[in-house]
Amino acid sequence: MKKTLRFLFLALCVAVACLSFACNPGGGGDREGDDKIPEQLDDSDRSGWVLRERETFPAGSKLRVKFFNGGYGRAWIDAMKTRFEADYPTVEVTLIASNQEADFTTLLGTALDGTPDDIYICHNIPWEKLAKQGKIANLDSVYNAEIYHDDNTDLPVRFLDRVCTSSLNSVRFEGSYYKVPEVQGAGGIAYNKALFDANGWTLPTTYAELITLCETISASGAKTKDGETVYPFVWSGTEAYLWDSLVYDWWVQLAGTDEFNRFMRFEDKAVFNPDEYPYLKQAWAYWYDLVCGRQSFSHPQSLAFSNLQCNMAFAAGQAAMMPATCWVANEIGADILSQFQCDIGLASTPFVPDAKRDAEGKPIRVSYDLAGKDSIVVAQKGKNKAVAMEFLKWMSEEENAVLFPKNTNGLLLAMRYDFDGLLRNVAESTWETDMFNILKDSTRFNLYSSSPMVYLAGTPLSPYPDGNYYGEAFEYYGDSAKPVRTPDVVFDAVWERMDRDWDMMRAAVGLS
Amino acid sequence: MPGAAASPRGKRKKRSAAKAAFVSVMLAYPVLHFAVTWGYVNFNAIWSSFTRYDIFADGNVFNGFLNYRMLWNRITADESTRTMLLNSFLYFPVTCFVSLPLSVVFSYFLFKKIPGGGAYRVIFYLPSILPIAVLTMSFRFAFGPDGFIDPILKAAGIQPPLWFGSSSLTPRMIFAYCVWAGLGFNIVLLSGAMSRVPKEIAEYGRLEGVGFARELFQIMIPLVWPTVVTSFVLGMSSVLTVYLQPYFLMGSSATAPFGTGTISLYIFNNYSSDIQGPYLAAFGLFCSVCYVPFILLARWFMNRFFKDVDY
Repeated sequence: MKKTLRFLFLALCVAVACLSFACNPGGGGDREGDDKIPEQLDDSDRSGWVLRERETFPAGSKLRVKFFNGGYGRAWIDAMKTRFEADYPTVEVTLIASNQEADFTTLLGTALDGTPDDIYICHNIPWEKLAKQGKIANLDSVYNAEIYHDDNTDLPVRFLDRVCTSSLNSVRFEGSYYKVPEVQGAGGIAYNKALFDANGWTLPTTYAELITLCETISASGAKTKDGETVYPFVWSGTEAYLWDSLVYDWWVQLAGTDEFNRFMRFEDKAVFNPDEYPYLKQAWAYWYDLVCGRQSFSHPQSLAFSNLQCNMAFAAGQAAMMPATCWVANEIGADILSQFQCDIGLASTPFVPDAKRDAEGKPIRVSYDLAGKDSIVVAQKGKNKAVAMEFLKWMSEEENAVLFPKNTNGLLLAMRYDFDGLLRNVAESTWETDMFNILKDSTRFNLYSSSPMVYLAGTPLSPYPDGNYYGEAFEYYGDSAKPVRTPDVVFDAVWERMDRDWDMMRAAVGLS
Repeated sequence: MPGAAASPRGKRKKRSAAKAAFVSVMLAYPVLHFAVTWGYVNFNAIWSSFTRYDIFADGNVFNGFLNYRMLWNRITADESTRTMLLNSFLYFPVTCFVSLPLSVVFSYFLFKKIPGGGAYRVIFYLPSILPIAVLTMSFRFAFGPDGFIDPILKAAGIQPPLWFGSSSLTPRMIFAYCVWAGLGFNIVLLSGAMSRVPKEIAEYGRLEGVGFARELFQIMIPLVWPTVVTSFVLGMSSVLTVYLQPYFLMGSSATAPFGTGTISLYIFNNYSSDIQGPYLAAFGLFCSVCYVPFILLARWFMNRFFKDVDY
């Protein structure tokens, strides 16, 4: 037995040594500027836009689109299939729905090696890796293609000019385009409009007004039809990260987009030092003061609620507000909302006192785009690559892009829409109206990072490398027997670890 | 000479060649299966734990012990990682010293053919055949304001706690679920073993005036000891394998809130592509290397209690 073990150990050592010598040392690659936003055409006046001449395909052409059948539903892609087939009578579109995220994350690389479908639509696709491996198609020709010609200015309106500006930091790899961002949407505070109207409450525009509103709601003694108390907020302990919608907005309000982008490049560990980079800690402290310091503002079951239970409590009117993502209205569903006779809207994150201001002295409205990780990619080995490319161009046309918000209750493709047109012609619900208004008026940002410490790392770096601590901070607040989770403690601990581990973390992704 | 029968020696040679071919064919699949699913998978995991995935090189690049150093830093400095390891380890006493003894006792009652034993057998085994997603949901929804437990407590004048919203209580709720849902599997194993015990032994004990407790502890348990040891060892391995229970009970949350994370759940939640593979392989291997000796030691120790009995 001893001999066998000794032999196995030796064999393992030899194998590791041999393989280590056989391996390419790796490293390198140039992603300089991949996250820079390219210049886009001013599209405020679209009156002179003339649609391009669309491509034609031989009879019997096909297109296979595999999509994640999740929070956005499938009505939008069904509508697109119908219209695309009408516009291209020689093409038959097949939609393949999957609710398995692994089909797009861990398994997609293998699928792209075999006989892949033509287009894949999902979030968390490891597109940088697939691009490097040559498994997804280079989309430079699509991004440079002319979709409209502006007769007023005699300038082409390229596909690039049609893509939502704030998503353009997440589409290039080593200087080329490989993905089309799928969705844009704002986060903020979902509010129960029926409750607000019935009680005469008004939406807060500043942090101070938000506190006052919460105090008013708490003091009002408002009850639901079932006699349940109405609380200012309800949120889910299992999905406490949804508070990011507010905290990240406050972070960018305080820091401005340049400082936010500096953080997300993760080039210097100093961004984790709260003395040098105080903005995220300040934003978190605003949250701490609002939610932990005023526990009566939260529905008492919040910590114990799953996301589903939280949504139901909100729809049932047990709370006036809820930290929200852009897909909340879809997630709750029109049926549930009508069953509870609940009309919900989306309020943008109130301004904190020291928010950055524009030239006129007004605080700058920002909005965190949680949907920034969604991708549309084209398979390099797809049999119908030309049709797939044409589909993307077709999708960017105004009348086709509008099919998405028409079928998703306030969500939008990551295209540059005419928001006034949407407000006039598409917005039917309070949620849609609010969403379009916020997207129209805000500077948007997302959490995509082109840093190797994110897309190359075994434990990808994020603004909260040790977790966001929302749940713990709320639970432990004021309990001397529990660990302290004040802003000082949380951010000092993060800095201590990052200061100590930074070089090792860089080495782990091949950076010296 | 044409048509002449082969010599006995030739026949023997032919027969032994045919036998060798038969044995080879019969062994080919299991050996191949072992080589691929055990040999290759484990070797690949060990190797990749010393690498990092580099998309520019399109493959794994040797990284020395960096993954292990990072892991060690996490364990020594990060409270949540330590909580997760401790929480995983607690599945050992829960499974082996709560769930298994209960299973032994219930199996014995079933063996003694208590009234309604058949119905109890179905009740105990039902959780084992229901999909875990359904089972976890029904367990979770039994608690909280919309469940049936809270109103009962309220009627009794007790303020119900936040069952699934407290870092002190929620991990215990998951342990409770594991005990409840895990009984069936052990009971089936142990009932099967007890049913093989010759009736004569029990009858002899009865004639000698042996009571229930003595019969259970001094006759039945020693006789089914190999099955108990197997269940114990399987229970010990839950430390490294439990993940679906906390995952579903915490609403499929990727963050395993309230200290409900486990070793496998951490790996499950954090693996989204080859890039995360090496670090997670190091994590899994580290935990296995530290824990497997305890399993082997426990098996060795338990096997010394009673000698195997053939009946």
